[in-house]
Amino acid sequence: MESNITRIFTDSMILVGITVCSYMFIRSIQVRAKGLAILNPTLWSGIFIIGLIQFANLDFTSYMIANKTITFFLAPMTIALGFSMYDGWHLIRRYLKPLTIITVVTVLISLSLAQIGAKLLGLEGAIAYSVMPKSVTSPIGILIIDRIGGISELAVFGIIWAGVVGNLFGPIIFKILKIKTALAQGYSLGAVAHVLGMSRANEMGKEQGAAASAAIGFTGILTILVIELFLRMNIIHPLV
Amino acid sequence: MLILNQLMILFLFGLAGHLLAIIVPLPALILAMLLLFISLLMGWIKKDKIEMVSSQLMAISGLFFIPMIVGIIEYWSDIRAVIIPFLLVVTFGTVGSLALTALILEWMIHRQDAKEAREVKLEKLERGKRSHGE
Repeated sequence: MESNITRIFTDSMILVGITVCSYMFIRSIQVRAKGLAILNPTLWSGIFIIGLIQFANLDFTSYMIANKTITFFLAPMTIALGFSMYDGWHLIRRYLKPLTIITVVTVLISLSLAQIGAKLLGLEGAIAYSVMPKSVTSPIGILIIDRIGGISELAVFGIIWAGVVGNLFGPIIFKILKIKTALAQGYSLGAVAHVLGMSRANEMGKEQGAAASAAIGFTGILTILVIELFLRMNIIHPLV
Repeated sequence: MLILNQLMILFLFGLAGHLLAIIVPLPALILAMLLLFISLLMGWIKKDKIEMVSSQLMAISGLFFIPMIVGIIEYWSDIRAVIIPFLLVVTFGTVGSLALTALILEWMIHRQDAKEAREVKLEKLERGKRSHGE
């Protein structure tokens, strides 16, 4: 009897189903809680499934193999970012010069703050490298980790955490610093907190949302270029 | 059909990205993304040909990362000791760069607005003078 039930949970459709169902379930809770960022469905679904593996004997290897189906969609999603960039283009076209400058500045700020913080708290090697892509969207972050070395799972965790932080604190920061233009709010949210920042920006207004979606694409590309440049100039040494 | 059709366009751009990656030293996915952006901008491909799948993929993008989070188990013994400082670095880094980015951008936008307003005023003034001279 027990072995029959265990067998159900090695079936790949059921294993993918667990991922999808827990995501949709936590997401519906989040919607009911008016989009409270800390209820991030990705984060909590991940923790829930880790709990199942640790305490309910769900098989880790078969879960990971079955859920390659889900991970696959990261590739078309990354390409679809090109559409988001186009979607925000009409808004950012007018301020092309300040936005070009700010994209360079924000990429450099993000990378250096990550490295300074890692130094201060004594993170080293692969762990310190996994902080670096924190402000870009995850598929781009994974590409960066592939290039410089580091633990991609940890990097994704950091990326999602950065998104949650940006999503939670964004509106508070804007209030304290008196940031009022829709473009500055949206673009900075997208540039620092990627897709999660974009979802908060969409709640703030349509202009903010469009600026955020453009910011995700542009900062992502620029981060890759800057890291490539740093690698060529031997400022960063790849671990792989 | 509709979904598959639009997904196929994304795959075709993926293929184009891979082909381009042979000569351009950037990740194929990024090149595909740029190609899609440029094609939309140039009007080579209509917005509604790709809009549905793209916006749906973005809307549920969180789902695709769950297996990656679960995969952290494999490294848990390595990272258990550093997870708190790691999250602290990410938290402060994010708050810091968000504040700086928003501040600098807000300042630059105001500056451009003020400059444009000044230029418009100058133009008006000049036009006024000219018409006066005639």
